[in-house]
Amino acid sequence: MANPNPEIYGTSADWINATELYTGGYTGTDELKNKIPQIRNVSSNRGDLWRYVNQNLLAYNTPIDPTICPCGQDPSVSAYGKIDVYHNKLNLDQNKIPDYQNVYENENINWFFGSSWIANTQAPMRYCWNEITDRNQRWTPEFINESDKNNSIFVTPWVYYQTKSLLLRIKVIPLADYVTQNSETYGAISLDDWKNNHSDKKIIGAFLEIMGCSGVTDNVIGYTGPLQGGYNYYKSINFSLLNAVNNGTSELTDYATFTFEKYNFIPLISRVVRGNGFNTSQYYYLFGYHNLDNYELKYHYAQDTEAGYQIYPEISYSDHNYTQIMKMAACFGVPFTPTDKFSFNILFNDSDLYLPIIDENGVCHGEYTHGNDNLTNDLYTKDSVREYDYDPTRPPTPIDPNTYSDTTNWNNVNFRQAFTKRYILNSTQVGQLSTELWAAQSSKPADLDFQNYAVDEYLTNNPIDTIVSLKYFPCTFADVAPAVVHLGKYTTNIACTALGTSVRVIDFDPIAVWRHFGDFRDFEPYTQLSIYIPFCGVVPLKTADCMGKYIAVKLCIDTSTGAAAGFVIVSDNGTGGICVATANGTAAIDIPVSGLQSANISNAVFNAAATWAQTQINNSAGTNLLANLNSPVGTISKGFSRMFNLGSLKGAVLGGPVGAFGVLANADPTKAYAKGTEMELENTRAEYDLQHVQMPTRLIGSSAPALSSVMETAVRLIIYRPITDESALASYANTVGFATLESGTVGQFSGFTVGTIDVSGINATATEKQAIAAAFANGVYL
Amino acid sequence: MFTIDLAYTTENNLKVNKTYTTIQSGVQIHPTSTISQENPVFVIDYDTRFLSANYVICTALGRKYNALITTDTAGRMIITCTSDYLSSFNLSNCPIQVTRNGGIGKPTNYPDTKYPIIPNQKDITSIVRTNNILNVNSDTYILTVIGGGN
Repeated sequence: MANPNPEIYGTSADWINATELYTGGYTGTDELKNKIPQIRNVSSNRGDLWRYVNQNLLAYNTPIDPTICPCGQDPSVSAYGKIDVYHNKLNLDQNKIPDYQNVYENENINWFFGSSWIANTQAPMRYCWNEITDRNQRWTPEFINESDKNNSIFVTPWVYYQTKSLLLRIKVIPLADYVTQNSETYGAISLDDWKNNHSDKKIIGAFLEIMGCSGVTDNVIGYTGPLQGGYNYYKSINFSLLNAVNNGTSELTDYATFTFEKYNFIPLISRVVRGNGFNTSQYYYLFGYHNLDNYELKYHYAQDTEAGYQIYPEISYSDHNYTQIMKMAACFGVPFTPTDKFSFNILFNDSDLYLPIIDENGVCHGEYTHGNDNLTNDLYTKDSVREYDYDPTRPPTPIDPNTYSDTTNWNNVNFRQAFTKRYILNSTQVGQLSTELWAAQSSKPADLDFQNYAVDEYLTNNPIDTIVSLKYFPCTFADVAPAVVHLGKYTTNIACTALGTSVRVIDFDPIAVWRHFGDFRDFEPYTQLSIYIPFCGVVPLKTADCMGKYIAVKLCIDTSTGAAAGFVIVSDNGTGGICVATANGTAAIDIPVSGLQSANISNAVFNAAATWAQTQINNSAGTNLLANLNSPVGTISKGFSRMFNLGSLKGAVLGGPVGAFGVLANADPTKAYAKGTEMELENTRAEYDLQHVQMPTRLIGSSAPALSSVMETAVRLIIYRPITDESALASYANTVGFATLESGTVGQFSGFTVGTIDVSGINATATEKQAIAAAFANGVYL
Repeated sequence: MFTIDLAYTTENNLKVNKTYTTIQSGVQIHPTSTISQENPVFVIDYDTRFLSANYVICTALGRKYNALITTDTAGRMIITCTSDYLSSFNLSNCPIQVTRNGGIGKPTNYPDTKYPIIPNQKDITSIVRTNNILNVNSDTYILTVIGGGN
């Protein structure tokens, strides 16, 4: 649930929980923080709801007076949602139901001011049988055992005090006195006494002493002294500082409840105590100090035994600490004083009497008045919640859960390059690169097959395939280291630098967008803004977002792809700021790299050579083909190495008389001359292929447009401003008037004036009043 | 019987609390019929001094009037008045919400659609910021290769 005053009391994250009994000597602060105590059981001194309802003293689900709301808890969100304060009437007759009430709603506990009397039992009562609903309801003080339920049980009455009839005195515990006396309150002095007379002393705690008053008469509190219990009775002050935690085993929520059954004080700055003088079953949270300064956490053995130890803060005096303690006291919604001077009647406008300021929801946030200012404080002017505008059915004002930031967070990006390497070259080195590519291809040892050599050396078939890209960047780089270009495993002779940056971030100094006119013309639609970002273009801006502020640009260039992104950042003072616009573009220019794919060449040459070789085998020399033209093919050797008289054969085959063609065309393919023609053609084709192996080239990258590089490399804020027609301004003030929106009285204005006038206070006829209003609506001269 | 003051003013009719120059004060009026509080008509003896009067102050009626002086056939001056409601009452303390005011002397932050701005014309200017890191003549090439063993 919501904590309306975390800045005063902090949250569970701020408080130290001491657990695990420490069995050593002094320990440091860090160790203390790891210790968590068990929370004390909540005293469940509760009233009897249904009985009071029967008596029409209360109504179910009806919120009661929220004028006390300790620590600023909103009644609608607190587990102690129902708060009751009534005019006090201390009733000493246990058998008579006093006019006091506890109100519970379901499982919630209502907390309140008062003193409670319990019968001769220390056991909290739990359940009471509800005769109306014929079921157990946790609307009464709880019993430990179910068998103890009884309608006629003695219930614990709570006596309520009127809010302003109580007084809290702020006390602090000086260190020296505490250490020697080991008492919760022994040696305590007033807060003002610490400030004025003992500021050189450290304190180890602070608490509120609850002083009872008999009532209020006019502007005087009738003060009777500290609240006291009778003999054999516990006097228990339940004061809800924190939420209830069941049996001390639950995790701490933002709040828990403290009950001090023997003392009339409420801790503000508490400590963990175990051992001498205290019930060993009691544990405490160490809290209330986190928002102070000049303190040091200490651990101390009250006795030189494991059972006795204390963990407490040693707090030095400072004005800040004084103020902080005052604020904590003010959160409880009850008059308080940092002095000891009050003993009897107290004037409400006493300079040492402080009244908390209660907001419209009945929540106190640590603010207060004192002296004459008290006389206008709600706590003084009102007697109960019924005098407030508080509407119990109104939902509580939700507390904004957001955390606001005025700064965009930027990441430092640097991705690891595992399978690529990037080098920064200049133009000379780029020229060397092409030379190195050819050198790489010719570096194969003679005794190695080219393909195997290439794969082993370049991790690919072709040296040129080692190049992923070559890009021109219009910027310099700082994150560099000396290097030599490696193409795979092949080391070139190019000495350069290796790039270590994934994204190049370029920050441009902020531009202050100054108001030129000092009036409405500085904003849209009159004045318009846009900003040019290099490589990204022109980005329109909202004038209202930028006018009177600083505009900065962050240009980010991806060193892998060359992509550019521009970010427009608006801030109040030129630092930090929020990104309000973005634009994308391309900063780098692709530089095409071409070369031979040597593997492909090798493959083509090999195939052509193999084909040619096969034809040689198939058509080997040995037989005079001409002489055997008409011989069966089987009589012809399979191949001939060189065509003998090829020309004549060709001529006979190709260039001879038609008759020869006709003869050949109709030739029997099983005859030699037909076969010889076929061999000739095969050989011709093989030789041609071998001599005309196509050179496989490769182009890496493409000719990308370099147009963006023509534009300037500066950020430029472009401002479009209106032009005033000066000639028309001459009579403007006296005939039209300047647009404005002001409230006041007629006598405060002059010149031509248009407005809405309230003439209800003048002694004129209705007609005249209408005429006056109409005249002012159209414009009059004052 | 009551008196009126005859005066002359050059103020704009829409002027609140006009200033005027008294021509004749204490001119006696003898009403012979009902006199309107807002638009009274006074009849007085002809007097050339009053010809220039255009403003009447009538304490008895608690008002000031814009006046038009005519002459009837009997030679009397007829003063036809209309209430100067902007000057007859003390408006100084009347609450007002002003939406336009010439006395400011200059435009405010509130948009003024009537303000004389030349349409469709803009004064274009710019502010530049440079950064030495950017340079199209940087002579910087990034070669990306596979592998990476060094």
